[in-house]
Amino acid sequence: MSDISFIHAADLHLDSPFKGLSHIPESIFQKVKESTFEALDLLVEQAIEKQVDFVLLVGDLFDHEKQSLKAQVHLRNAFEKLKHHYIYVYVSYGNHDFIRGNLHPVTYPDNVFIFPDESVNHFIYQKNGEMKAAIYGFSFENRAVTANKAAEYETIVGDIPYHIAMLHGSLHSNTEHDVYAPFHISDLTEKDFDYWALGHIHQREMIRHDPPVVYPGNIQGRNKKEAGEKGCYHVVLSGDAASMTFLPLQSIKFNQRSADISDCQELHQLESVISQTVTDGGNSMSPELLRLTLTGDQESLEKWEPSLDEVIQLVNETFIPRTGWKYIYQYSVEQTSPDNYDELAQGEHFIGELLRHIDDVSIQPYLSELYQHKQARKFLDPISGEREMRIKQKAKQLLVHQLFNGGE
Amino acid sequence: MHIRQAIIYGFGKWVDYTIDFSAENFLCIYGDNEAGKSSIQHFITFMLFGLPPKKRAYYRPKTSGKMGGRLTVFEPDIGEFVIERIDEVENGAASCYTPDGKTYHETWLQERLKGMTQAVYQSIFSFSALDLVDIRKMKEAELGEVLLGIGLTGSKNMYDIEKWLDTKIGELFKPSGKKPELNQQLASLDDLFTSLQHYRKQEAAYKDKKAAMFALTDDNRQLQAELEHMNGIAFRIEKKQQALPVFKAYQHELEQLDNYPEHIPFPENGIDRLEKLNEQLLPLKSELAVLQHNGNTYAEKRDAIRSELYDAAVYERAEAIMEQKQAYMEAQKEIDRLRDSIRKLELQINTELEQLNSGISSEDLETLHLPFHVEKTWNQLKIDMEQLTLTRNQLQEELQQLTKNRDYLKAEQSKLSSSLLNESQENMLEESISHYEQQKYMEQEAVEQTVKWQRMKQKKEKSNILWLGGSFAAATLLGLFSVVLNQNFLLALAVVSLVIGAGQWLSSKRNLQDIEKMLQTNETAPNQVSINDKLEAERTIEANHNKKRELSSINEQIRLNDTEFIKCEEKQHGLQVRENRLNEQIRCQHKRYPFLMQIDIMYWSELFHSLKQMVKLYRDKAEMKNQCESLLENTDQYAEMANKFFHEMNWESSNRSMEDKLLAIEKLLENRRDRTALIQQYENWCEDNEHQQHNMKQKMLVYEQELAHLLAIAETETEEDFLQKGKQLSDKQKHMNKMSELSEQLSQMLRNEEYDALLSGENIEESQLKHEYEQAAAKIKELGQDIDTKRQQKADVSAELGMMESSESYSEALHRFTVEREKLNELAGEWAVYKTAKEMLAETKRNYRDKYLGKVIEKTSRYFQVLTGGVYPFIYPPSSDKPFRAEAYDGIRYSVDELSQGTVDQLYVSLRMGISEAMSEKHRLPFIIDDAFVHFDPTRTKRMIKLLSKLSANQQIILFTCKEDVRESAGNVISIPHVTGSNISTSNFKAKQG
Repeated sequence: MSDISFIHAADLHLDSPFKGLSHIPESIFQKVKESTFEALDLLVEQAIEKQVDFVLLVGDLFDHEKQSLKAQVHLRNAFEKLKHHYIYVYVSYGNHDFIRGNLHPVTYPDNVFIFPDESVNHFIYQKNGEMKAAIYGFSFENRAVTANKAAEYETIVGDIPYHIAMLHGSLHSNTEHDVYAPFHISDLTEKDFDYWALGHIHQREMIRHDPPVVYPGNIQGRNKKEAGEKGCYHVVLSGDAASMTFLPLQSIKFNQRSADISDCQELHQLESVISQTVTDGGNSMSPELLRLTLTGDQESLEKWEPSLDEVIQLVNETFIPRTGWKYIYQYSVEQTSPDNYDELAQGEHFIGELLRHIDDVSIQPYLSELYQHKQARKFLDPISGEREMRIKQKAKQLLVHQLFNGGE
Repeated sequence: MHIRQAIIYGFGKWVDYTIDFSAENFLCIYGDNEAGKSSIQHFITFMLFGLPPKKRAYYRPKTSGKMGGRLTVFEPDIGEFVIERIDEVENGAASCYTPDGKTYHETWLQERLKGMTQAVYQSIFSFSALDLVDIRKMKEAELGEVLLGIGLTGSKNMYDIEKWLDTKIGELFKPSGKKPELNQQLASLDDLFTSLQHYRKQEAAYKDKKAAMFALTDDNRQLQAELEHMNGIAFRIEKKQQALPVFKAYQHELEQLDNYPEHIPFPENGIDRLEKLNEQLLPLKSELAVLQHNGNTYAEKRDAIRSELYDAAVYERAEAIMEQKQAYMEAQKEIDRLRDSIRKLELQINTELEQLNSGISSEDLETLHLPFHVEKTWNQLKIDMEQLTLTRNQLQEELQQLTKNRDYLKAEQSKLSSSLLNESQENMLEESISHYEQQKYMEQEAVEQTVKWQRMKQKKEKSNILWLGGSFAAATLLGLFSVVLNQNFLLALAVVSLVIGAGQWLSSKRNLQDIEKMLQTNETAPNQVSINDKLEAERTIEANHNKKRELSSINEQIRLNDTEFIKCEEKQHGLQVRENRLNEQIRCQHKRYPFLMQIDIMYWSELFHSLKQMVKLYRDKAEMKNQCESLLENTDQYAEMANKFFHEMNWESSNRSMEDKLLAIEKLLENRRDRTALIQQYENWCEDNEHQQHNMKQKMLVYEQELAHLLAIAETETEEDFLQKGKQLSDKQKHMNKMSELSEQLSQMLRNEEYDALLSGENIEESQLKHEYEQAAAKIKELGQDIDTKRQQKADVSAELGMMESSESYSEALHRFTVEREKLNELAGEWAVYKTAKEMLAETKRNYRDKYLGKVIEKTSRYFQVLTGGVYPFIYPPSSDKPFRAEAYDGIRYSVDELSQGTVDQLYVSLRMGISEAMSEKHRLPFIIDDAFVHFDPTRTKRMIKLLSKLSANQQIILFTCKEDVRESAGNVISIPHVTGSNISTSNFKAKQG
């Protein structure tokens, strides 16, 4: 039984905008905009370099909510490049690129095989006129598929060495994401497939090794939750053995870093500590979007907080022009021993009264002035419970700080 | 809570300092400025609430390593307990020691403080003169609000905060504003959203364009198919037009072919094969002719040579002669050689005979006979003769020698005899020797005597000295005695003994000298014989003895010589006898061989050998002569035979030597041999030729048979007929080939059905074909134009699609919109924080006011009344539209901004005291006042102090001051020594009573 090799990727989300980037300079904006495409281009390059037999793309290649023609055109160009190198592509659509939602009938080249509907189908991959692998899958026709599709996968009978299943969905127990095509692990492992190529979950995960049940994650992180390296798996099946190599594809990495600024005495020290933290990641050639947490005691934080915006801007300016650029897109400060107002809240004095009041009252009514504003509300995200807590905490900090300022 | 005692281990200026607060509830601590009052205040707050590390470092004493202390505190429900904090221990955390012996930690202390923190404590339970300064800077309009804030929180910046929050909120958002950040962001988002919608619509058109594209592609495909079909039709017509002339040529060839018979018998490739056979046969024929001619020539030549030869008998005889030629030639040579040898031998014999000169002629040799013993006899004679002569000579020499010896010995004898010493001389010499011996002995005696004398002399000298010494001593003794005893006789005796001693010494000395002199004369006696003389005499005597011995030896030799002489004479006689016998034998030989007489006996032996040789030579010569004669006889016979042959052959034989004749015969024979060989050669050639001719004919036979076969197939007799028939056949074939070629052309140009129709006689007109072609061409042109139009349309749509595909406007707008929206949300979050803070503050303020303000105002009024000396018995807090007011004793109410500065100060102090008292219901903490009354006049100060004393019944009050009058007014005072530098002593101060 000779080997077959392929690339398994999912959740390309081409041309989908990043979350949490509010203040970015134009140059970074341009790079962010192109990052999903660059990751796709790298995927194609890798497929060609590794001389794989085919590429599996398990759903969510692009987003219908923010559907752009550019995404599909770029995808078609990528497929054409693969065609030049005789690499086949098997595509199943997921919850973000479901078939009926597609506004742009871009024609893909004939090396691309797309699962046409929601029933589980298969394609036979032939190499030199010999049947090498059967590839199974289905596409989302509508936004949601709630049936257990895994149960419908059955291997066909015949002299085919490998059976590979593509499934865009999640474990029924996974409640962090929208649950589509829910399945149990046993649904997959009890079938006689050589590889389960999953999609939908953006966090890379090898759920089982034998047979491999794999989420490759998405190929480019788009928010702070999708941090670190992102990419695809290069899979080689030979006999019963499967070797999987993760290939990073991301053009920009999201990362989270912390810096302790307690020991900074001068402004330049603060700057150098932050610069140091930015380059802590080691691989200086990889562009990074950084979320910075500055820790310190109350005193140093109070001292430096007014200068932080300026210093971070300064640091950003030094790192933006580099090849492996870094950009701090967000920062927060964290007290080494966080303010604890519980004690203070017990007091009969005014501050005690104030703190108790803040804890007791909902803030929503105060904010309706903006959040119910007819022009603003269509653009504003509603305030979640978590966000409300954060706002309250910030308000407390602000008030306590202000009331005591000059109280000494 | 009541502070009892503070023990400072080290804090700011203070090191190992103890303050006792336990005396009274109201305590005044007095000290100059910079005395360290505020350090004590800070120490107390440090003990109660702790300090962050940097602050602790700030208060670390410069002069001591320790930082920390203890605070003894009384709490009604616990009793007296101690709080201890030390900087190094647990980061300055508190350890609390309760009366029941337990130890508690920071958290426990915090529980006791009931939510009080340092900041709150500072704002409520302590105030200082500085706070008043700030109050005075307030604008009149704000004063009411500030005072209200103080009334509520003890903190004067509440009002500032509210204002600041309003500003922040206003900067971010106004519901109907344009400038604030959020409003601006909203405006730009609106723009972005609009353009996003626009681009989205544009991209939606992609689907329609794509459909149009597909339709155009289909149309084009149909038109293309039609065009291809028409092109096919036109092409067929063209082909038919091209085929017509070919078809005509084909028909012409068909007619030609009818002129030839159906079947022409002829072998396959007949002409070629014939030509090939002839090509092979002709060279063979010419070769055979040459061979036949050669054979005849060889036979003729052979016969000619054969006729030139003699009969065989002639040659046989010639050969017989030639066979003996060799023997003849050798005989001739042998004869010559023998003759030569004979001549040489004769010469040799004669010469040798002459040399011998013994009178022997060559003829004599023939008769001379020399038996073998002659040689031996002759030799023996010769040897005897020689021996005899030798012996005689020896004897002669011996005799001469003996005579010579005798003469010599005689001469020696006489010489020795004459040289011998005579008797007297000898005696004299012996005497002189004995004399010498005697003399020697005497000398030895003399030496011994001298030695003896010397010894004796020494002895004598010694005794002389003794003598002298003894006498001298005696003299001295006696002299002494005489002096002692004073007896003169003793002195005389001393002189006498001295004289005796001296005389004895002198006589002895002279004696000795005499003897010595005598001895010396003995030694110098005369010496008569010297040692040399003695030795000379001894040598002379020795020589004489030797000579005597020699003489006697010579005498002996002379006697021996005489004896020898006699022996020699006897030998001479014997020799004479032998000589006579030998001479007899010689004579006998002379008689037998007379020629010997002429020859000395010594050469006889050699003569014998010469003679013997000569005799042998002579006999050889005779033998050779015999041989020579026999050979001559043979040669003559051979010559005769040759001459006879010459004669028979009629050849000229006269004047020709035997050699020439033989040469002629040999030539004859040689000639015959040559010719015979030649004949043989021709014979061989003839035979070869015969054989070749046979082979040639064999080869030709095969070809000739093949040729006949060919002619038979073509049914012809001659080659000429055959060739003619061949040509006819090839012409027919040419026509057939041309026809099939044309037919092939036609089949290529035309389709199968067209081809079949044409050959089966379909009639095609050229003009009709032309017409059909023109129709098709017109149709094709029309289709081409349609296709171009469609293609153009498709290109247009394709370009539009391409533009859409390459357009990134929507994508760009989408990304930008997202980013801006993020920004909006972030700003909104920021706004929300300020907004929340503001609202919360306002609400709490409202609530708090409702809850506590009445109580605070009530207490404040009391203080204010006391402080103002009853001028303002009441105050009113701000309500809805009315500001803070004070009611004078006459019932007139003044708003605070209408009050004098001093009154405002008092109101402030009253408010602080009021809130503190209100708060102290829950938080019973000491109230610390730091010179808050600096600006009060003594009366007010007294009132204040009085008030505080009263207040201190419920709450401990500690007043720090540098004012003398305050000190005086206060009852319980602790004076702090003015601390300068390191001059801080470990001294305890007790509160002074009264």
